[in-house]
Amino acid sequence: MLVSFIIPAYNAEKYISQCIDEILCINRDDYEILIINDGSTDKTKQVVKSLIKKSNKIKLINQLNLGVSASRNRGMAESCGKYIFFADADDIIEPMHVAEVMEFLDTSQNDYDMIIGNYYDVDINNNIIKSYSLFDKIIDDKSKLDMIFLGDFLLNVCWGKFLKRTIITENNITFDYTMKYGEDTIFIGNFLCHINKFKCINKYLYRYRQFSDNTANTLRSKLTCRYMDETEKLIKNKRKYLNSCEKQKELETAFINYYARHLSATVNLALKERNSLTAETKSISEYLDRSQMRFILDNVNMNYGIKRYIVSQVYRTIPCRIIYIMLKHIWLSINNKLF
Amino acid sequence: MSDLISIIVPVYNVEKYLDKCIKSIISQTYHNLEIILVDDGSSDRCAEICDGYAEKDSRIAVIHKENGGLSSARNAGLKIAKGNYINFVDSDDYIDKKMIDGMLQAAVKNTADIVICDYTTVDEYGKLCCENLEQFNTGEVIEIGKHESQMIYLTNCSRRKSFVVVWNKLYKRELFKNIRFPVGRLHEDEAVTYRLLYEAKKIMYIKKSYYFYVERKGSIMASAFNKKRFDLFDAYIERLKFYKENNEKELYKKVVFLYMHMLCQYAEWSGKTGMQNKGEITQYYNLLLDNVKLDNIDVTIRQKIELRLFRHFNIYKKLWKLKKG
Repeated sequence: MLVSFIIPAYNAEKYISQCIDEILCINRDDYEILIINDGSTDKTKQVVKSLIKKSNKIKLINQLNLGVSASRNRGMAESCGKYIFFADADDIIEPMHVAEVMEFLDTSQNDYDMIIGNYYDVDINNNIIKSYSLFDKIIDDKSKLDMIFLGDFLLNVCWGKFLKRTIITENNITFDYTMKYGEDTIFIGNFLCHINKFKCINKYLYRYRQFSDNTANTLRSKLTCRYMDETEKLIKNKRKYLNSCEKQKELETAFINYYARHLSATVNLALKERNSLTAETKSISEYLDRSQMRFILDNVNMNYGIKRYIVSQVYRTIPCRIIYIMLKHIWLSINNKLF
Repeated sequence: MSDLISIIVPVYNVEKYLDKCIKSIISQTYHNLEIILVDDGSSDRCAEICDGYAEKDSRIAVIHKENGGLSSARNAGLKIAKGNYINFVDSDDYIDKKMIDGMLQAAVKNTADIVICDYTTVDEYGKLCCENLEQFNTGEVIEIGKHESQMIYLTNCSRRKSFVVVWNKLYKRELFKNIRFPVGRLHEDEAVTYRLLYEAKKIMYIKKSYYFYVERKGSIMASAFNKKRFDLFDAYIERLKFYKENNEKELYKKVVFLYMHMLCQYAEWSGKTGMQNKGEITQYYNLLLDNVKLDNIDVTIRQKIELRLFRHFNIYKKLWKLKKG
């Protein structure tokens, strides 16, 4: 068995059949599709059962609602393929390119630990909205991979990649079920610590479905200061990864700059949320005051993002948002950005 | 639905892209296809690739012919096509697996003669060349009137290219009775598509990108500016004559102004590339003045001034440049 496709499904009746059908387009016998039904209350189970009649490559595992991390862990435990490919139930793979990668893995002399590729953002009707290419970043050695993992968002997800199972099992890498956000980034971080040989190919392997009404909501809820513990864990985990890398100095700068941007974006987004003003202010200051966040803000290069850094610092000391906006205007006009 | 659909693919030296193209056609969800691969005298492995696919799929027919150009390849395909509907796919592009199904459903449901879908521009690796706006991908099927279908390309509408290219459309075979692609000329789409749209009794437009247009560095349109590009103006003159015969005064007027605009654009481009195509530009400038009689057509005062000014081409060019900004 070459590849196990692991798909956690919770109330996915609308899109899961398309997801599975696209994988079944791959005309090979050496893969299995594991659907983990995470206690769905809709017709997900029936939809999958009817698809099982079409092909015996599909295996359905039912469990009580335990969350996406537990589902993925269960999938890994029950899988038997040499490589694991995670997918979300509402996304779609590109069968032609995934089949090409499987052919490559099957016939290659080398034993790859990971294969990564490009992906598309698509809308609810599977129309391509945006393309993301890892290949442009010319990732051919580990240090470039580290740079992307620490300084960019492109490697933060666990889907769309071929991951070698032995690395996961031998190092006991699992998804942290206590986290509501960022658990896949930590998983990838732990995985990348142990890889040796990998390849980045210039093919679009995966289509990530964006829900236009919900994206704003989910993005907001993910980036707001509610996820303080998760964000701290993420920064801590990435710092641990950083310490195990070579070329630490430039990686550290990239990493800190990336997180400074992330934090300022979070603060901006939290400000846009029209909840009780004082409550939001308090939670934002609390968010920025956490030790890991403080580490980022204290170490961000003064030449880069000086505007954001100072503004975020100023905001923390002045509780009124109106004054914050005034200062922002003044700052921008000083920089001649308004006129 | 049991209609046979003929898909004509003109092939010339695209071995790098051909596999993906043919695979995307044979994996269509609609199966009743006649796939005609026209090998236009390729010097690379395209001929073998085509024959290889023909052996494995009985729906594929291959024509090997001497090199005659894109138009002659498409005409050769049209000659043997038996389907009720015809579709063209360029050999370096690829299509969504639901394209024929989606377009045929719209055609049958609305008894349309032509169905047009939208396209996404990608590079040879699949990366998007420009953002795909959601508002153009609603999946809506709307009817386009005869006059509107002619006008869309002549205005500044953002999807205007969808109405001039040959390949994102499903045509009823009867439309090609008296129409063939002009052999040996560039911009064959400009010369043909509007006539097909004019012949059609009903045209439907699907707001969905089923077709992937691959922008590659070696293609005809991407290569350096050369003399053959002036074939565009021959197409425009033909279009002017066509509209005159059919008494389409407004469309006639639009083409005249488009002609003037493109002439200035070409003058600018040839200036930039250093190839002074002054001969061609003068030739086509004179051609327009010879062929166009705008005396009895409704023109606004501003347009009258513009036409007068056009006689002094250098001044007109400078003003055009200013207007462009």
